[in-house]
Order: sequence, then C-alpha cells, then structure tokens
Amino acid sequence: MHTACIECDCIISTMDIAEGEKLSCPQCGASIRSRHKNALEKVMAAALAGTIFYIPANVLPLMTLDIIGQTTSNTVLSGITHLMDQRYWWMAFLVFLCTMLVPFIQIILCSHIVFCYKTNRPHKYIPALLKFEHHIKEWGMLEVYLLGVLVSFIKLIGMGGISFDIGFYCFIGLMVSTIVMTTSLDHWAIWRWWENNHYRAVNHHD
Amino acid sequence: MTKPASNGHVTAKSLGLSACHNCKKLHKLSEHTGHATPCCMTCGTELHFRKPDSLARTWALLITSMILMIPANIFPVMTVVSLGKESSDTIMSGVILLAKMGMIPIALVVFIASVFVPVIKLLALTLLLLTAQNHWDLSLRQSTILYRMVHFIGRWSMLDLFVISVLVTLVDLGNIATITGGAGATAFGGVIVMTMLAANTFDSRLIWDKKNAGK
Repeated sequence: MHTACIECDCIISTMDIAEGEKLSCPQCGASIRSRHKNALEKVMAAALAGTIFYIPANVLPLMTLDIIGQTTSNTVLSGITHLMDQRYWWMAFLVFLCTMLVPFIQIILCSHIVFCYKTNRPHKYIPALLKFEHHIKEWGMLEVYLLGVLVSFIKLIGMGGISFDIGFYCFIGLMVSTIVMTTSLDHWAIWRWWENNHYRAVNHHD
Repeated sequence: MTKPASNGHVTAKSLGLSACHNCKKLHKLSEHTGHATPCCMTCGTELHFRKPDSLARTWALLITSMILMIPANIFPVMTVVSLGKESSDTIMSGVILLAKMGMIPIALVVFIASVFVPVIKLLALTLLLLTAQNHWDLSLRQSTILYRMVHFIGRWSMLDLFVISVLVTLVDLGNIATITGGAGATAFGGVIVMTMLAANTFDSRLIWDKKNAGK
C-alpha cells in the first residue's frame, strides 16, 4: 500500500516491513514507520508499569535537602502547587501539562487503543484517540524533567546535604514506561486495522 | 543554478494525491474541488496538499516568540533570598554564576538548553521560512534535517522551567533560604510554547516543492 512522506511528500511504495525493522523516506530520510518486536505486548506491559508508577512518581518525594538540620523534600506535585502559591499560573500550568497531565492521558489512550486492537473491537472513537495520542506526544516531557531534577541536584550540592528519595526511582520507572509505550505503538498497523474494520463500528453494538 | 533533476522520486502532489496527515492514507485530491474541504474517508481528517497558511501562521508564531525573548532575558527568572540577602538572576546571569562557581558542565547544560537552543531555533525557523518563501537554493536534504532538529530539540528548553519548579519547592526554608520564581520565566515559557507550535505549523514539504517547480 502506498503513502507519501509527511516531510517531503515523496511517494513511498510500500509500508510492509518485518518486525524489528525501520522504514525511512528514500528522499529525505524521515522515519516513516518503525515496527518493534512484540510491539503490542510491549505497549501493554509498559502501560501497566506506567499505571503502577504514576501515582508514586508524582506524590512521593524526589529529593530531600538538609540545611543546618532543617529538611525539606519535593515532589512533582508540590513543584506545581508551590508555583501556584506564588501566583505563577502559567508556569504551574506548563509543568502540570508536561509532567502530569500528558503522561496520564498517554497511558489511558495507549492502553485503551491496544486493548481495542487486540480484542478486535473497532469502536467509533478509535480515530479520535489515535489522533489525540499523536498530537500530545511531544508535550510529554518526563525526560526533560528528569534532567531538570539532576541539574537542581548538582546546583544544591553546595548548599547542604541532598539525597535522592524513593519518588525519584518511581519517576525513572514512569519515564521509561512512557517512552517504551509511545515508541512501540505502531500507528500505521492500527490505522489499517481500523480502515478494514470500521464498517463494523457503525452497526455493531456491544 | 538548478540542482540535477529528480532522481526518480515522485511527490504525491504532482500526481494529485495527498496523504492524510493522521492515518497516512493516500487520497486522490483534485485541485478544483468545490466549497467543502475534502475529508479522509478513513479517519475524517481534512485533506490538504500542504498545511493551510503554513508560512503565515509560522511567521506569526515565530515573531511572537521573538518578542517574548526580550522580557524572557531581561526580567529575572528566579530570586534567591538567603539570610536576608536577596539576589535575582536572569537566564544569562544564572549561567554565568554557575560557571563562576566552577560548575562548568552544568553551566554548559543550562546554557545549551535555555540560551543556545531557543536562539538557534528562532534563527533556523527564520532561515527555513525564507528558504520556502524565496525558493533559495539550499540543500533540500540538509534543510529537512535542520527542520527535524528544530522539532526534536525544542522541548529540551523546558529544562529551565522544571529546574525552577524543583528549586522553588526544595529551597523553602523560611529565613535561611527561599527561592521564588520570576516574571522572566513566564515569558520564557511562552517562548518555548510558541516555538514548538511554530515548528508544528511549518510544512517542510514546501521546501521540496521548489525541486518540482524547477524541474
């Protein structure tokens, strides 16, 4: 089946590739499709792991700072509420969007899409979910937040005793899960499945 | 002055075809469709040969982010109150402070994420827009790689905001030391969002159209 490169409009003659292979545009080199081995199982496993890590990663302390006997600790959530306390609404919103809201939506969407695909239920709302998943992907910034935590850690080394806490490790778990989940999801395969089965969505209720 | 003719690759537009942006299905799209915008049969997305008003929208977002760059760099992004002493840092003075304290690698990371990347992004997008508009004779493949890089690195500028969010919470020790945010950070957040949106509205296929026009 033909398609066209999204970056240079070059006609791509086939999208059929084996598991574990990648397809790039012959003209501009854009990545067109990548099929991971056991992609479906990977997405499901990562979504499950993400669900488990999500709450601990956001509410358990990431780091603890000890200055002259006084200790403070921070969580992802408290980073947002502190900015709100100081009336920096826009910043609080951005941090909330990129580190809490988008990963949450991604986990819900990916697990639901894969569940419907695996059980062969072409619901009417599948296209909306796939489109939404595609558009919000770049706003999930857990890896950037992790770098931010590391930079802060190094900045604070001079101020007093600072150490990583349990939330930090949960956060890494959440980050790895969402990355595996979003990169393994094969949009092309799911779109084609939808295309071949969507007629059933109209007159099929269960 | 023209590059060697096409090396066998055909664009979808030259065949009157358009790939749906979401589900990637190819559709026959006649230039002379009537009033209604054609939609993808599979997923209902509106079909266009190129993103509508791509250049105008990208220019608008790009100029907005250029204007926001000014307050982002003039106003402080963070204020540290330690034992009664108050010091405000702008993005650049924060980097210089880190370098002076001997934390060169971390200063470099912050510099790349919050100064280098936004500036490069603005310059690269301007260059790409001018290239697409004036059909400049730049290497098509390299222009596309530049666009892909702009797309990829944009999100890493968010680093500074996340650092502020962490520091504000962690360094909250009453009289000993407190850190609060600053107006510059709000503007900086605007710069990042605007440049990310600008990278999305830009249609890199416009760069390649020159090749087909000149053929």
